[in-house]
Amino acid sequence: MTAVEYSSVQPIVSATNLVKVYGEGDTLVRALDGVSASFASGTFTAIMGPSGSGKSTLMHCLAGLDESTSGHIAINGTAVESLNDNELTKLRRDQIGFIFQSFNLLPTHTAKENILLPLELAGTQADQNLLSHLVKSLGLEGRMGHLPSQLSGGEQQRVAVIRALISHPSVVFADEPTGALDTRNSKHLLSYLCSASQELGQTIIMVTHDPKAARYVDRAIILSDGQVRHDMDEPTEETVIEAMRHLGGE
Amino acid sequence: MASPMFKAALKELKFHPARYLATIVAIAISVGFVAASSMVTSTEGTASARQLSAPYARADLVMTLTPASTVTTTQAEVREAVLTTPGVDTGEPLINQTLLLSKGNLVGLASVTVLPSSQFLWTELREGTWPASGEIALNSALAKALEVGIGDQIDHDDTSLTVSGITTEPVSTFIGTNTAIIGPDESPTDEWVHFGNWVLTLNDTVSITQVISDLEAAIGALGLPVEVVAGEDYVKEVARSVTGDIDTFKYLLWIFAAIAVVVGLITISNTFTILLAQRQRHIGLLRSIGTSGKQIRRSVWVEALFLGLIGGLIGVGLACGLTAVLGIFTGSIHYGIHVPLVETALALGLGMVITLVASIVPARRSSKVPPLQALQPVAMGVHVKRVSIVRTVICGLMIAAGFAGALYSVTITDNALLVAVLSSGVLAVGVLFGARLFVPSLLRAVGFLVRGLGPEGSAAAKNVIRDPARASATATALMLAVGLIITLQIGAASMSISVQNKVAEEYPIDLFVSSRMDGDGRLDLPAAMSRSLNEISGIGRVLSIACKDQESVAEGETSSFDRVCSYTPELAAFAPRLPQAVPDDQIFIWESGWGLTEGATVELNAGGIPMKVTTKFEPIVMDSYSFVSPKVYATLAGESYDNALIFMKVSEESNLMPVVQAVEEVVGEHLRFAQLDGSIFQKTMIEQAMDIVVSIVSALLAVAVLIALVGVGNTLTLSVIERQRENAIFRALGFLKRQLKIMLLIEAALLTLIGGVVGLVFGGFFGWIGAKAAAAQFVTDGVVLPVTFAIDWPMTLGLLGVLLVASILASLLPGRRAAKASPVEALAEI
Repeated sequence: MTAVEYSSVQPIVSATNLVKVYGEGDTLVRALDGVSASFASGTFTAIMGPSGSGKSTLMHCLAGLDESTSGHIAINGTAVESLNDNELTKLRRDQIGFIFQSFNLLPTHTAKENILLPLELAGTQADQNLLSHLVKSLGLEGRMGHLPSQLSGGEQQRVAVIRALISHPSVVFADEPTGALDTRNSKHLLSYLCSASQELGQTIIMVTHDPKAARYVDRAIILSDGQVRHDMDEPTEETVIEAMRHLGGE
Repeated sequence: MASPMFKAALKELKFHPARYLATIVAIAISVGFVAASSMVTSTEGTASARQLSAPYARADLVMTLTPASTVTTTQAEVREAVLTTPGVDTGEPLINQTLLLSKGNLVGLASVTVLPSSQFLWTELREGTWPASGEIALNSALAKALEVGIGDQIDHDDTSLTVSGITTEPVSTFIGTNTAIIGPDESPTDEWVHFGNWVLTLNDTVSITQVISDLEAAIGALGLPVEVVAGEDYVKEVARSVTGDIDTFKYLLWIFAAIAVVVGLITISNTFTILLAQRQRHIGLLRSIGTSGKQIRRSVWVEALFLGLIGGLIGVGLACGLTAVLGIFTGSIHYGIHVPLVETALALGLGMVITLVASIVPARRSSKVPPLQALQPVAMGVHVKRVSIVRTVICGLMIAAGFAGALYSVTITDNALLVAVLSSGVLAVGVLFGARLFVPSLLRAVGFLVRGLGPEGSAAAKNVIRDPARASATATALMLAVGLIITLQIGAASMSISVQNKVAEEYPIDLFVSSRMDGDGRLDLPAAMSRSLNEISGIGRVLSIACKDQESVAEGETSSFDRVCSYTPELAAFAPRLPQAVPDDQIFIWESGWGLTEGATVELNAGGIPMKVTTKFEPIVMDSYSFVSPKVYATLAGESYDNALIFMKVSEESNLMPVVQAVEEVVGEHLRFAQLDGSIFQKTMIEQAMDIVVSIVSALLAVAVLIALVGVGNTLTLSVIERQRENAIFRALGFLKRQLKIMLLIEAALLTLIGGVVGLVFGGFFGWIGAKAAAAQFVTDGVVLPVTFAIDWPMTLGLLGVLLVASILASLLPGRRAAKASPVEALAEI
């Protein structure tokens, strides 16, 4: 049940005995039921599981978007549960990058403005080399001045990827990033995230229900009913499907 | 009709009441304004009519005697004629006069009636007794104003009266008179006929028409013009004349109410557009399961009518409350609250109609969306819709034509006001309907400036222009309301300053003291007065003018005791408009003073030698003072009074009252022979009158501004609901709650600023054009009153300040709502 320690280095993100309860009485749901996991620097992890397994809740808690009922979360040594709203906001701004299923670009901002917004909020300057490298490697040259409504879905998601990576965050959380993309764009995105993890040493935690994503990641954590059921290194599509099948009885 | 659409409409209201809050407020204020106009005027009017006609309420007949040129008839003869007319039971004159009553330095004006016989008494005593001779009973408001109670003495001229009782009669605002009853006065009444009204009772032995004709014959035989009417007809006639006056006032109020309604209409229409845009998916779903577009439209209309009804009822309630509060304040509550049912029902109907009208276009638009498109995930796109070319052309033409017409009106004098009003109207309509053409560009330009305020500023600048139609409509409502207030303020300020300048030209001396005439002629003013006046702060300069009494000869006639004064260089420098000097062969006289024309020859007495000068009209102080050069003055015969006139220049024009009071105090010590005068009095009167008009009308227009501000808050609130997801992205990416609130605050401020400033600019233009055109009506001697553009800065800046503060307030609730949204909830992928 406990996550494998990848190295002696302190993990970037760690969760201990995380519990998240919704509702009360008859409607009580234990979305997370004692989850513990650590994520080492530079790794690309997939959190998988069927609908309602608690994978999204886990990610929201880890990213400080949602409060856990009990348990402990640390991001880069900071205890998340001790932070107030403003401190949490700053933590998200300075340490975390997000990629969402529905891209979530601001419709009123151009691609470039969307990318630079987190830096602007933090009051820092963009790393121009990194920016041009990312724009080039994601094939978005000449699209920076466009509004999201003028970009295709794949392009919008790539803008969101750059927005997540540009501030050198400690960790990038991706919530079903391929959910709204076609197969070709999905493959392209996953392999890009994989290379970002390997080449830039970016820690990435991705929630997905797609077993095909398994072969791009270093590690897969499989959740069911709010508990960690499998934690596998170097997963493949087959091993993930196999593992998921065993959850099927419930 | 319990159709599913009706239920759906009610459900919308039930589950999202907060979304309708601003709309209901806007409707309630609009309807409340209209209803309150009717109720207040009706209540006050009824009270006034009842009060005025109360003395006649118990009379069967009212007989009015009109004075003829030579009357020798006595009251006894009239009484005799009345009482001997068959069918008349009793009859007596109702002697009434408006008198100034005083107690020490407290004064009060009252309609005073001589105590009639008990059958005609219309009021009751609260305490004390009815007055005997030399006594008076006051209504309580008057007793309070004079600070007297029973047994105290009050004065009228040289007569002293003892207060014997306090009556229950209220004072009504609209006529605003207090009432009093004095004891029967034995002195002149029997010798003189009393002109005015007599009240009579009948004994039913003869028909009323017969009595009327007999009376007219009997009194006519005494040589007195007479009119006799039935008591109830007289009461009705009084009521009708009061209602006539008060209706004019009501129609005036309705004009302002109409403005509030138009602003309300824009606000409500905006709300429906936003509400339905948010409901697009829901509507798509309904469409795809078989609801027709017509049914969708109907459901929206039901919703609108329902909202209109709720808002309207609240408005009528508010109006009732306001009328009651005002009635208590004025005392009219004594006669009860009068609710004109038809007009109130119409106001309520108006609320429903404007809400319905406001919903028609949005309802049509949303019901036309194809189901499939509506079902697609709501695109958080930026609505870039072109402005139709027709609108651009029509509004452009109206703006150009209106502008040209307004400028043309300045160059003409005939019909200038008409041309100015018409072209300003065309320009205003062009600007308001064409707001869509320029508001987005203005927002973009101003938005560019706030980008410097960091990410909040730049996000706000982008948000505010994302839906140009909505932003324009919101700003338009404000533009209209602010524009009207500013038009009025600048028009009034310009007129006021121009008229004051005109006054200053005609009466160049701010304040002056002159000596009164007494039996021996005019005296000199004490030198001490000039010194005391000099010490008053706010009086910049004091100048004593030397004059001599002259017996002068002009056109063969000798005029006596007119003062001729020395026109010294100091005097010439005293006011900017005064001529440098009087030529030695001229005399400055007041226009038509001494009954002379300009250029007439006057002979002055220079120690027995006649000294001839030509008259020239030059208004300086008043008609009995004329001015010659110091050289001529020195040669004139007679004693020189060095303090004949004291001129004062006011240095502190902004706060005149204390200065004038201080001067009055000094002059008051010598009132027996000194008299205070000057243009300051006219100036303050004009200023005060203008201030009162501007304050009242501004207060009425403020209702429209209030609705427009509710509209700003409304647009923001609904935008926040619409942008919930977007705000969540901001929060997820690192916007602090505070930053989100600031972003909304900047949005509110931008909308308010553009609406306010455009209103200010055009209002200023209209005000100036209006003042110019109005001035063209005042042509004196072929010269049009020159108009100076003037802004009442404290009032104008105050208005802008209020707007900005209000916009901050308008952003508070939406800001809280936006900040409350948890990033997770809003990002949920469903």
